[in-house]
Amino acid sequence: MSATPPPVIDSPDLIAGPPAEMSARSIGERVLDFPSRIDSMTVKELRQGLRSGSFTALFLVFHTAMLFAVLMGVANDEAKITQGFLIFFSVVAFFIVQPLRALVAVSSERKFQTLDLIQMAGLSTWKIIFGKWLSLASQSALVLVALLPYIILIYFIGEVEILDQILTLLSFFAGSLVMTAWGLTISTFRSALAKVIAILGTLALFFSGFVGFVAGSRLSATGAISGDFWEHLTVWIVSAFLSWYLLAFATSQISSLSENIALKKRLSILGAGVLVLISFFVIDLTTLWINIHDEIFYLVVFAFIFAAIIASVDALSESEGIYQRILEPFRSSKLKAPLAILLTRGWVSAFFFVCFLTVCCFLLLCILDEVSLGELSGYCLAALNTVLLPAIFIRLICRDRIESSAFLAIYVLIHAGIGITASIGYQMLKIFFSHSTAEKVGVVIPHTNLIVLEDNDVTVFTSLTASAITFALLLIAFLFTCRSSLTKICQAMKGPRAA
Amino acid sequence: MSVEIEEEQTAADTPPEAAGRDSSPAIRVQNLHRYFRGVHAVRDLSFTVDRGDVVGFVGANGAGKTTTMRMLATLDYPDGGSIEILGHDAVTFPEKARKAIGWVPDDYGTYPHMTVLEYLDFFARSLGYRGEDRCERIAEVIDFTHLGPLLDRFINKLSKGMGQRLCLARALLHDPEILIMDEPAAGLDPKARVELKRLIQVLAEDGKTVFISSHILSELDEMCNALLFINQGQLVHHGKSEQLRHANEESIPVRVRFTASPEAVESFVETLEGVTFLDPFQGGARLSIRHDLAASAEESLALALKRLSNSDLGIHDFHREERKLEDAFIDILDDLESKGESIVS
Repeated sequence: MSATPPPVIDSPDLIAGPPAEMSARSIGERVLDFPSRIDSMTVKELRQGLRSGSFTALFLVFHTAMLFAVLMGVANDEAKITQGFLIFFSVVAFFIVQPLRALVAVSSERKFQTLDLIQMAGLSTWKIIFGKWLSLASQSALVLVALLPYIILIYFIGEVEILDQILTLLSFFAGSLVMTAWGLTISTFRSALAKVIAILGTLALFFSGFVGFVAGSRLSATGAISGDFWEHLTVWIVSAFLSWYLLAFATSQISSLSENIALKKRLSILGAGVLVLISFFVIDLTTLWINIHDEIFYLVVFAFIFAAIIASVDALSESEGIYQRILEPFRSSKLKAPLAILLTRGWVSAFFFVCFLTVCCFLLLCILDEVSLGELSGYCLAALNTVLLPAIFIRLICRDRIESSAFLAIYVLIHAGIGITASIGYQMLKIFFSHSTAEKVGVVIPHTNLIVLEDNDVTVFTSLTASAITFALLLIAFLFTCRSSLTKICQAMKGPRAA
Repeated sequence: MSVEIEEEQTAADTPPEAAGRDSSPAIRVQNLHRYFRGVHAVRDLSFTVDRGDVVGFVGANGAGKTTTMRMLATLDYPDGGSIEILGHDAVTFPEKARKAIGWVPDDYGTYPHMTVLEYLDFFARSLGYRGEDRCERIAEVIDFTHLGPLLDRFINKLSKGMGQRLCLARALLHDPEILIMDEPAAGLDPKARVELKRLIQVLAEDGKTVFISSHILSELDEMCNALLFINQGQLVHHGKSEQLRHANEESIPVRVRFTASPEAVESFVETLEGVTFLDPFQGGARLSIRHDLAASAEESLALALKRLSNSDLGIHDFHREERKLEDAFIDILDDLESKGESIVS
């Protein structure tokens, strides 16, 4: 900018201050607290975060409480008191305070219209989300480091396995990273309804045993998770994947329409499926020299299916946008159209992706659980119909009446509505009529078809036939809703290559 | 959300050397449409802003100004039509367009626990400035916007005027060719308003293209060399402010002072052909002289003055009123209303 500064107006603020001419050196001296190579968003968040009252309060309360706990432990010559405080505090800090801080990270930027300014500054959506997460993760790491001296003190007070304690805390920290990423994801939702549903869903999962399965039920009397190193390592790897996936999910919520937000998410979930399969065979071969429990696999498969469900719901509620820029990378591929309709953003490709992912998940279960494909095919088709039904409903009935940002919330609500109504109806039919009547009606609705299959009173053939008919109807409805978009994608893939 | 597919090869899709972007206008908008839950907020909007122009964007509340400006700034997406910023397709390649745009919203957006200098440092880092370059860039915009004394002040403690200067400094960090400013003077005190206007004038003299919206038409009149009027998402007028001032002009307003009572003046004026009594004020009244009373506007005025001075009204002051942009805007809206189009306000 070569413009000469305009004359200063007699503003009291300006008259009272130092000379207007600023030198680059004087500026440099004041903003060199973080080196240039650190991402700008992380720097900004750390500057703000470390100054904010919540982090300072967290630290002060922690040290005061821990000093009190140590004194109590020393006075009673009992390590358990101090250790109980330590576990309680780490759970509060890692699973409540830090995710709560993440919950407002993006929504506050949106509220004060600063998200627009950041995007205008050319910062990619991934850098915005990752920078915010990294800053919170760094602060969690500070809390973790602050906990370590107290573990050593506990070790001196009583008989405690110091390694178990450290591994447990590291697993808590890894869990915190996932929760923080999920908090960030919720904060990116535009729809207040989606936020409320996500928070309630998280609380339900939290209290109904998700965390209990991972940590609580395995928590020993000493407060450490009674697992070996491999279990902890699995928790860390699963946490890393879930965090990464959730950050990609959050990124897609604030990205521009002309970005193919689906590519990273969909490839990562498919890649994770392949890794799960490979690790199964690798670990199966190495069981002779590494003793790995079955629970590790259950954890991995559970985490993968959890991520696959999120991926399916996310894909089915993605906003559409078919631009040359999105389709261009697929032109160079020999598979062209098939890849484009599987990996580009929006409802059209989401349908095919969800079908593909569901089949992959059930194939994976077939291999891991050594169950025949025929046995699982009924479940596979019923599950697929269950996932697709609300999405088809939205596109057919209320597509033009609601903002695309509310699709996710509406999808979940329709799911819950159909699921709860159908389940209650099914149970009522069983009570007031007969099992066979309930089953005949139950197989018609995908949600209850899964329950009917679980009851095992109906033949797989009946269920499969009902599911196949339902799927055919859903496919017709899908083609009806997206025929023009599908044609456009195919035409664009055949059309002249853009420069 | 409608599905939009780019079927034609746009200028943005061709290599820079082939596209001849240097000759392309600063902003080119073609057949722009935007819907919000069934409301057609922007309708078939088309206009061009040449490089170096300072263009005012005017419209009543809810006319579609902010929606259009957000689309120009790549912060919102059109449901139809195209936007080119210096030849780049802003819809498909927003990041290319963003490099050329400095965005100044009506609310500059604050952060708690952050000083003015840290705010500028954050945006300079985000824009990719490293090391000394970053410090030099920050120093330049601080000097330009006179933010030196405020560097250590927390931004959520700044006054609206200071905040708007900070916002302008941020928008200028990457030295953009185009500035898009949405109601930058809204809520500013007169002094801050004058200062902001001077800053914009200096930027315009430096060759920057400025696209600015405001409710205060007199301010735009002084700064802008072209004006765009928008109503219900549709462009109703685009031209130089002088052209606009005389658009739809069928009469000339005059201010007349006299010794007689306003009632006497009103009853006398009713007998005169081509002269209309508009409204009285202390010691006089505003009259309207029809344009076609004589061969030219000047002769029409001379004829009316002669008839009035021949009366017993005691005329001692007669002068032509400069037609204000507000009058032109109201005339355009009245014209639309008379054609049966609804007006948003």
